Amino acid sequence: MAAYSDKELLDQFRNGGNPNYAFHLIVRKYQERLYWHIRKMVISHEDTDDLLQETFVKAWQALPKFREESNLFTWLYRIATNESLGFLRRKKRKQMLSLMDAENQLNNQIESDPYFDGDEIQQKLQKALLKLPDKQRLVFNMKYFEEMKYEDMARILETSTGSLKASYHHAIKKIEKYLDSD
Amino acid sequence: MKDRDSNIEEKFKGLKKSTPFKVPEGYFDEFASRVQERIHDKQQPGLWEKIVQFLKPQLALTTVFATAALIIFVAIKVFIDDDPVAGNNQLSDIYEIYMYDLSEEQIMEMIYATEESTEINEATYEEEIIDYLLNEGFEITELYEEL
Repeated sequence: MAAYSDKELLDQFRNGGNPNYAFHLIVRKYQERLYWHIRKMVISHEDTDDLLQETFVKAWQALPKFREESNLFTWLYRIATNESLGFLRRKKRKQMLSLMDAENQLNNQIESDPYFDGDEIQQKLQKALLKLPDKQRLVFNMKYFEEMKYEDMARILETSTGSLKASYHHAIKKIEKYLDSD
Repeated sequence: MKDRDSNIEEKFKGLKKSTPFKVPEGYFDEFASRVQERIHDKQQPGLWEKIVQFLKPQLALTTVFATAALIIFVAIKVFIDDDPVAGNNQLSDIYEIYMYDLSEEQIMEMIYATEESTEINEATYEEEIIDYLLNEGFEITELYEEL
């Protein structure tokens, strides 16, 4: 598959006569990055698969109105982030009524997940991450694993770089404390 | 803060930064096609939309009839008003208009005339009773004693 730029893909979507094919190329271009972004937040592969599909369905519906105020990658990342945070919020709300809290459930998912092949230290780090508030976990994932610049993160999460730096710092402190105490 | 964070990251040096998660084999090869299918499914009308589509002409007709009935009802209420309170209001309006046109003397005359006619009526009523009783065989003396 030829590597098209975002601009070329958007031009093809709008004026190419075959928006389905152009959108297919957009999905192929960004599916993996968005998958891992969502997966680190919701842990389960099945939930990630569902949220990733929903992300692209929403992108398809909104793409004709996309005015390119941000670039395509930032825009898609923002949709995926909102989908993930919304999913976790709904999950927590549901689990307020059940005996097991969301953190415990995600912990169990890591232990029993057939698609988790990390070593013991990685498992420990994932469990430490689950202790963080969702937004702090998101910032940590984007900075530590995805090595994203604060400026890019600020555009995606629509916040200031200052607050992102503070969030990342707090996240690291908490993880460090958790790992030291174990 | 950056230096401090860098120091803290030193502690994670033993960790592989690569993700510990994996995906089923061939997952990304088929994903784009599955998204297209989901989009196609979403574009198909659901059961509720199908029902609405089916009932649309009937709903439109019912709405037209309901609107027409409402207009007729409102028109009747506005133009053919038989509200007794409203009727009294109209009479009192007329009364007020005429009263302002009458002089004080004319008003007094109207009051006396009303009183006289009442007295006449009362007298006529008494005479009629006496006539009736006489016809029934009562003695005139007895009647006057009673009065």
